[in-house]
Amino acid sequence: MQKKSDAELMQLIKEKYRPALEELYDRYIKLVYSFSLNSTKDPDKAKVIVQAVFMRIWTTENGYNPEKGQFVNWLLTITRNITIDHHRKEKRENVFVAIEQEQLEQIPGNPSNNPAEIVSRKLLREQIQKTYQYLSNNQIELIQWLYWEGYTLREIAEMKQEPLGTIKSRLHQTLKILRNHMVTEMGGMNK
Amino acid sequence: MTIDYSCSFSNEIVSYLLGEITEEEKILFEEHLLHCSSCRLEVQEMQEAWKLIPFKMNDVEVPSDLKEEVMNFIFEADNSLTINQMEKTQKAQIKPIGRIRKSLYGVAAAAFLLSFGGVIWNNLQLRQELMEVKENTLSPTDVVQVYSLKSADPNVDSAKGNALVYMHGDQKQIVFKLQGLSATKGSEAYQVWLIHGGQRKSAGTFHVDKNGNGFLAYVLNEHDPAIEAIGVSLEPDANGTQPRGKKVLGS
Repeated sequence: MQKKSDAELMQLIKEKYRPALEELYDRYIKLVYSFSLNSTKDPDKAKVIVQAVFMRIWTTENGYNPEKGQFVNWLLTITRNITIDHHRKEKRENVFVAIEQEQLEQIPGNPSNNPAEIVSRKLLREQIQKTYQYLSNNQIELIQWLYWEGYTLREIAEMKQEPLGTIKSRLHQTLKILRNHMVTEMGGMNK
Repeated sequence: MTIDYSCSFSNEIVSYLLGEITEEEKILFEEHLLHCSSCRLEVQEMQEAWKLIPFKMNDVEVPSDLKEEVMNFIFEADNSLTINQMEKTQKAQIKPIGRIRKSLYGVAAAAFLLSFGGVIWNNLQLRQELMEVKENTLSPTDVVQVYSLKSADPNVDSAKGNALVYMHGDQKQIVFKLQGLSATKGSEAYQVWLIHGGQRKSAGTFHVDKNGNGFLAYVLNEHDPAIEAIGVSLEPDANGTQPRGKKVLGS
């Protein structure tokens, strides 16, 4: 089972083969749990999210498509979507535009650029944390609200009482900084 | 820090990325992407950066009882599926070398296809192949016994084969793989016999491909007596219940 690729495990899961799910759990629980705890700051809520994520994996019919990119990114997208759903339910804020869930997966990326493939997560984490030094408080706050708490750009514009265009270009800049510094730090991701 | 906006669309890249965009805007933007390489690059880079974000988080210790909790949660909720699930699992157990999935028939058909392709297998290879099938599928299938079959006619020593007995769940299956056999003529067929206490029970008939390879799978009934020996004969037709023709292979 350990030799199987993530995609193969997902195929077996589709066949309702339980050991495949357990293997996938072992591989990614740290990531999923860390993500949900990081986002909720609450172990009980994190647990609920983890359950929902693996339930989704178990029941998904045509969820993961290896041609669209790495499994880890698909998993993180799912985890984030579920986490954000929880945030929203909690805040009873259903009035806002829902983020189109599959959007990020649909954009064809070059798998070889995938950061997870290039370095270990630990090294990656160190580099990203270093890169954060180059971000302003406004930019860090934007990532926090947008990525981790699942607010939309429009919501954030309202919260900040700033024009939507400003928020958009702030995000653009933020991502640009993140990427450019990562490229510099890691000697070129896009080769 | 300012960004060199080389394109009037570039501020829409993040909206596009996040899906905060109407259907019309999306179509418009994607059309634009076809022509604008700088936006295409931007989208790609923004996307890469977005995917980096979660990797900033610190790993935390996962509670040790979480796995059990999650699995219980899933499999109790999924209980209604259990039977269906078991059926499916069985199907999943012996699976592709090809994309054929009917438990035993899968192996049979896959091996048949391979042998039909003219691949010559010696005993070791066959065993390895079957082990690989087993490993690929992580099934609880175990080879419990292997019989080596040798030519019964000393003048024709090219004929040989294998019989492997599997436990597959509660079911016992025997798979025969034979090679070096001459082509059958007319209604002739090869027939496999399971021998116990001098009694011969047919395990089925088969034909060979143009390279002399044959394949047969048989599910052993739990009432079947233990196999003491195996024989293969060339029969005038495929309808016999006792051997009439010449013995070609034996264990």
